[in-house]
Amino acid sequence: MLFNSWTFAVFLPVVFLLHHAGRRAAWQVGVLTAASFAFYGWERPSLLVLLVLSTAVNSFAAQALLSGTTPTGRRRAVLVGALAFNLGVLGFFKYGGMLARTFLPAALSARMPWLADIPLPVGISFYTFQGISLVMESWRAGAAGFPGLSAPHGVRQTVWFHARVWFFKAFFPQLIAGPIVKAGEFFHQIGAKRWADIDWDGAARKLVLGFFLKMVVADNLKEATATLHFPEFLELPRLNLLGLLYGFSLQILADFGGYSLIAQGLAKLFGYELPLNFNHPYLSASITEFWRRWHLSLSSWLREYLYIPLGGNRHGEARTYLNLFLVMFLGGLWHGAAWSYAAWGTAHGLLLAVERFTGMGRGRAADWPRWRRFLGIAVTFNVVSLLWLLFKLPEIGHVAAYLRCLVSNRGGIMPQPVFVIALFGLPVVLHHLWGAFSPSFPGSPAARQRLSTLAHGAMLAAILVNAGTPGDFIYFQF
Amino acid sequence: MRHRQAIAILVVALALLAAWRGALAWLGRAAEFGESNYQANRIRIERYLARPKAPEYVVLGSSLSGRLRPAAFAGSALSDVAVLGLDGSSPLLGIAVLAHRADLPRVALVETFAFNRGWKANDQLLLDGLAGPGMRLARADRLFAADQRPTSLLYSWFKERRDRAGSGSGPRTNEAVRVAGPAEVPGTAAAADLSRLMEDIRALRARGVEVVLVDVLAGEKRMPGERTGPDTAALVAREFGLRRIDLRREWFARGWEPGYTDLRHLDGPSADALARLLAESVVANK
Repeated sequence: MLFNSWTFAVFLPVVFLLHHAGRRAAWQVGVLTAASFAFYGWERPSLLVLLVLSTAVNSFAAQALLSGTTPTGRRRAVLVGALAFNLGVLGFFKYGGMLARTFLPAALSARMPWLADIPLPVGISFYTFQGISLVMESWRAGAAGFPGLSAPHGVRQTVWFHARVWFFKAFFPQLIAGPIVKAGEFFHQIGAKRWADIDWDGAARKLVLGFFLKMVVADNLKEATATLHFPEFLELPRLNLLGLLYGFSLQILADFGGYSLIAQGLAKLFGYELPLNFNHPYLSASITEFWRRWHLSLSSWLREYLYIPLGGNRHGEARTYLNLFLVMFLGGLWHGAAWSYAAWGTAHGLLLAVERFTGMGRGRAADWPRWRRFLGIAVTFNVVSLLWLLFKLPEIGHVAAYLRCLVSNRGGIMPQPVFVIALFGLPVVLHHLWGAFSPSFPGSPAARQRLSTLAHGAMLAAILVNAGTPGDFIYFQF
Repeated sequence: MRHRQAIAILVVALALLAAWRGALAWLGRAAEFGESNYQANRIRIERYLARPKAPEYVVLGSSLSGRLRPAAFAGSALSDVAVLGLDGSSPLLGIAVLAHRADLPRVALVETFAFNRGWKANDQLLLDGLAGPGMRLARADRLFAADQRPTSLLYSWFKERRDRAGSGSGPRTNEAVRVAGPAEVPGTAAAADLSRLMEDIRALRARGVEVVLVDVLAGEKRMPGERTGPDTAALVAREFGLRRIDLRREWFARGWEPGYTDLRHLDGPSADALARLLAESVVANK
């Protein structure tokens, strides 16, 4: 079910009212879990099989890992088994086809044609990472447990333990495209929620901005950037190619950032806080800063469960570079089963390494002189935009063709497509300007709030009269 | 409970919508163009469905025939015409839209050039949308109609201004088209689309609609990878014994020079001339 669908417009109030109809945590968790599974399986109930299996395995693994009575050797076996299960499922469904095409001899892959057509269950990358987070946190915490989750004793506690784990894995606002919630961030929040505690203001701001970014900005930019596709771009003037590149940069942020904000706003309606996923990423003055502002929940997950276990920066410079490179390569590959995603991650990894080597990535960019910061923002935005080509064009040959066209195509401009990109890209630019300058905005906090209310009211009106072509979120394919 | 700002946001939104509605009523403006294929097609489809009765003639096709302005047919035999030349689509979508009204036009003028363009995801999205709450809302209240969207109005203003200034087309574009010569082979439909097209035409004729095939004027530009090959239009014309009007032949026989807005689509004056030529040809071919 899509957040921007009419089905969801009915689903949400029904679930909201049912949730708040009961005051006990068990009722509320039960309603939200059942609703989350309905949400996920709405269009293809067969998808539920894998989600149920993944949830069950992680739930029992977490129980075993948190139990004080599990012997150390067995705990290790459970950890390895659970991680192998999670990574195996992800690997099979997401990378099976790609690995078969790349590594299997042609004769063998011809005998197993189904390998190339393994369907990708929506959201698998996100809920698998949450499962790994649960297992890792349970392993680290052991019998002491972590805030909100410890080993159960007795039937009642065991049922409640599993109910909460199923809720954590399936919570519908973040189930399909994040933010990736780490177990330690979520379980302590589970409890009875009161109607009186609902943060309507916070939820309204997040929902209005999120739906605006998705339905008005991203869905309109989607058609404006449709020619960023091989072979349509081959004969476009250079300035149009540049416009497409910037348009896609703004579109992907509006699409994914919009989704994350909607997820946060929906969670607020049910009394939960999801982590921040985007913090005005195109204000970044370096690639290092970009990764502190873009898809924060993934960066944080990779840091905690991959970079630090690999040794982080604790084993000398060479190892640090290797770790950075490896994490970004795998982070790139996490996005999709194509080598272009790995190339995208690797390129970011290389740039991070260069910035670390030259010292650019160290220190606070906010402390830089203004001219250097502006220059850094412009360079970073252009580099990031160029690298998005690897996202949009899955064939590396097509990316090379685009870059060639960007240099050698005819001059001039077809103004109408550029006008549309500028029109719908403007709100993202304003959003960033607000992020940059609102702290120093003249006037009292009350005046700032009035301006924010006006802006949100205008965005809500625009959602109703100026939405674009309805469609999926870009990150659903990951 | 924190809810003051949430209520204020709602109030501001309602006030802005009311003000926008008032402004639209006062100005009486509607967008002629959409800033994307989807919005442009929504405008044409919503207008077609909002007509009090079906027109006598309907033009079905792609953006090539979408350049024909209904106003350009004024005073001709085709003065009661609707244009369902839909951007990025083939006549299949236009035919599907016809089914959403109880009454039908007397004559369907079907553009042959886009037969190579099959049924696309955007076509399905538009067709699904016709029965969805969004377009129902648009039919119930003009505030939600596609031609009242603020950005479509702005884009329309921008495009009309540029068209009037004649930019986009020009000697370079026209020369590029002339050198390559006009596109000669109308589209070749894929097997599935051909059978759908045949079924649709059969159904239209069964309901008393006269179907006429029309070869419109297009620039040289074919998108790379476009299906070319045998002339589907000839096949369809033979199958049903349909009239076929070749506007390209008529145009060049008169020694006219077409102008193009890009490498494919006619500019405003040429599109208007083509509309008048179509009206003449429909009568002359009878």
